[in-house]
Amino acid sequence: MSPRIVGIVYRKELLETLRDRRTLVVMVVLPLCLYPIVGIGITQVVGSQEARRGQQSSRVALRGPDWPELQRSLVDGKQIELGREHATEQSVREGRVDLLLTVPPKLQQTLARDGTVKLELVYDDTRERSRLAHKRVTQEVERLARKIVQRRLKGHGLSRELVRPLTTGEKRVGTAHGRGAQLMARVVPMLVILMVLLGAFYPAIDVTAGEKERGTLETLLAAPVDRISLMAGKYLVVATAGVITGLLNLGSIGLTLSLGFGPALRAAGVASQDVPWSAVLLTVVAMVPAALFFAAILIAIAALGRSFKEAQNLLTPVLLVCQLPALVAQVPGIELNLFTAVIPVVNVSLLTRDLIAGRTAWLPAGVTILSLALYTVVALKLAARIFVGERLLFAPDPGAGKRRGIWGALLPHRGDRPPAEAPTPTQASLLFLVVMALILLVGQPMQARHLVAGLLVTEWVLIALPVLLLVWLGRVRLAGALALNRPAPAAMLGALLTGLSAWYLVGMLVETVQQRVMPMPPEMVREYHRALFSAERGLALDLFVLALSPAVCEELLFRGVLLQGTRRSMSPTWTVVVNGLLFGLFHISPYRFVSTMILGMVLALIVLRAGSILPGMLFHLLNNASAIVVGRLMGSQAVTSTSEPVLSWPLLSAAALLFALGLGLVFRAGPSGPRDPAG
Amino acid sequence: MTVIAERLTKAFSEVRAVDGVSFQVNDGEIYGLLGPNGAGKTTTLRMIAGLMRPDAGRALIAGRDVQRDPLQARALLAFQTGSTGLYERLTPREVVAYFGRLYGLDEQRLEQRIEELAGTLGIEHLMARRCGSLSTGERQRVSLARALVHDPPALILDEPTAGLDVVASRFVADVVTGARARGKAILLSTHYMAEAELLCDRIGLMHQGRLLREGSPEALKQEQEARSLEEAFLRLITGGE
Repeated sequence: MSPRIVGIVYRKELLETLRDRRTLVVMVVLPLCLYPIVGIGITQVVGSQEARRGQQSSRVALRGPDWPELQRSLVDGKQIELGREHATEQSVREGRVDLLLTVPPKLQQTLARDGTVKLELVYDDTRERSRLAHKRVTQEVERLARKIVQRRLKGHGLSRELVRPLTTGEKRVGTAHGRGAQLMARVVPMLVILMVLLGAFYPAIDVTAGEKERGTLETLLAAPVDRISLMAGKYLVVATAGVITGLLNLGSIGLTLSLGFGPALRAAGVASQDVPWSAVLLTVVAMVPAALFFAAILIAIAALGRSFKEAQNLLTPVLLVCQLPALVAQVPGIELNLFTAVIPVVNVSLLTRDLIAGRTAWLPAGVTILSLALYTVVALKLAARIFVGERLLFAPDPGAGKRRGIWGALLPHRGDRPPAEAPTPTQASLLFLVVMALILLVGQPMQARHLVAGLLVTEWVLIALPVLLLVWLGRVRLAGALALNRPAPAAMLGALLTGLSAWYLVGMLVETVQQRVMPMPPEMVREYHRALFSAERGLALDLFVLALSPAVCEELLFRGVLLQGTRRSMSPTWTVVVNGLLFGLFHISPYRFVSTMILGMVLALIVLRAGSILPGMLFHLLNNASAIVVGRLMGSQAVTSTSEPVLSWPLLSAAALLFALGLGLVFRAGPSGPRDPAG
Repeated sequence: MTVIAERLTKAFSEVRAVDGVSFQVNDGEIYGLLGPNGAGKTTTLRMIAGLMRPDAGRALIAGRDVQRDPLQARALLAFQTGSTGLYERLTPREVVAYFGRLYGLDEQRLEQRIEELAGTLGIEHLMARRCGSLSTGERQRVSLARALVHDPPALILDEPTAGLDVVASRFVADVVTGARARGKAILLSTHYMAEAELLCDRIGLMHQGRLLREGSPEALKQEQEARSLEEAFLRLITGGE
């Protein structure tokens, strides 16, 4: 990549972008006008409505005997017009009066014997004016009731405290500043995400599909510049547009709130000076990585379009899909933790909220930035692949276009080339994201409804099937993609020993520490026990669902496509670490993250060393099966992370010995066939 | 400075768009790829310009393999596509300067080239206008300026007169013959037989992805005992059946 070319392309694309009316409207005009106009407009309308409502009197019809004290109370505030005309419920319904107040006939007698007078109020709760009348009359009635109580108590020589045995003294420790932060933390994240996306939307299309449509891309690609530099220049312009839009929106929101939106803030108990503008500006920390991420996603998808319209059709669902997670910051109870930090868009929303509210947890914040960076790199690699591919640059022959369309750019031509030896890192990463999305959207809800069926669908349909589809559609050699090689017998023996000992060694050791640092909540412990040790299910079914299925399906994904797809582009150490991290993330639980990550690393190490996925499957099977069987034999207490672990040092030593012996055997055996130089 | 195509082959799905095409363009020569729409001319030019990877064969610009040494090979080429390929929101000056910088020209040389080309191509009065407001003929002149900004030794022009009126076509022809006079190797594609006959030193007749014959317009006519190139071409393709 040439920084000089990136700079030239960046300057030219930025100039063009700034001359595009569509982009300018979204990027500059919209934020600068929208908030002031809408904000001030709403304030004016609401303000004048309130003023008008305040001046408007309520028409109340009185029925029954006179009660001067009540009548005086009602008309004293000058907001109630009391009438004695004949009125019925129908009059209220028709809006001729706002409220009908009926005083019971034996009023004086009831009052004289300290009884309760029941006043009847008829009002139309679908009419604003009638509701207001109800509110005003009720307030006055309550005030009068308090006066009567005082009088009665005095008459009996009793003190007020007699009927008021309890009271509360309240002190709000939240500062106005804090309330301002909370208000902004609810509003700003969604606006920032949507505006960054909108700001990057048109430039992403313009610099990719737009250039193809105008016929300028072909001449550009004929210049002596590498396509990665071209793409980098274009990508940075899209990200810049997103950041500028985000900043202008923030600034405009700030100005509007400070200058024209005062009444709305006051309604929330906040003054303009209480809004933590410095914290709001701190959201740039989240906005810039978010803009870089969105720009990469948008440019990768827009590059698939062969015309502006086609790209627009492709990108519109992205805008819609991002709206929902952008709203997450408004949902109470959802925190930025290690799990939510890796969910794209959700993490930006939560981090922005926490930054404004001034309660950022720095570890999840760091994970957010890192995961965004990872997704950005994956999306950029995809964008680069599409951008350098000639299939989408030139309209192919119509037959081929019809048959393959956009997906043709992503998946290699079947029959054009010999099958690939292994999946590409991009294919592997995308598969991981797809499987994770499927599990979150389909697998987990299914498991919540029916555990066994949900688990089986998750393993075989949501994990194994996409793996096989990728291998087939991506035309990757099955044995290469999934490391389906014959292992050395010693490697299988090693896997047997490590698999039998790992559940105790890793499980107990890690979880003993974890129970002290981050214990699993009790309700989760119970749920976990129910899942693993249900006496209602037979052992064979449990072993199939919880041991064999994960051993096959999860290994196909993690030690198959993911490990084989990444090992050629990373050092063995990084390959093992990344594989373990992804395996930890896959289990979607902060309480199981460390143990599953370590198991994932051990599995990756074994499969890499043995050159075959089969020892990995055996290890995985035995690890899970041991936990299930021993759990059933001993009761659940001593086995899982869910309970306070009981460490037995002799057992631990034996497990460590077996584990070391097994790992030694795997390392000594190595692969059975000739060693792959890339491995 | 020569442009060489060696057994270039390209297939889209099951269709062979270009099938083993070989030819050579010498310095100071205009070589025309002639054939009907869909003959494979544009695909051949795209492979030579490094925009498409051939399935087999190779293209060389002054001895540099376009696939193995793409940046150096492309630096020696001017490539003009069938469309004028201008940025609507930029001015001709900005477009030409952009490409000049991409081709590695320093600012001083760039200014000098822009002035030269604006004078030669008669576009001085257009230089500050947005490209989106230019007529087809004006756009073609600006497009030529863009392609020639780095004064390359070899030119590849895909249908350079398509859609132009007589005056504009004549102007383009003058620019091309002027470049030949300065020793450039020029490869162009066209389906206008008469234009090719007038302009080209040698012609390669393409049909269904194959180069049927090549030679000077006169030699091709003599060989097919035809009065015009068009007639020669028709005899060639009917004779092949």
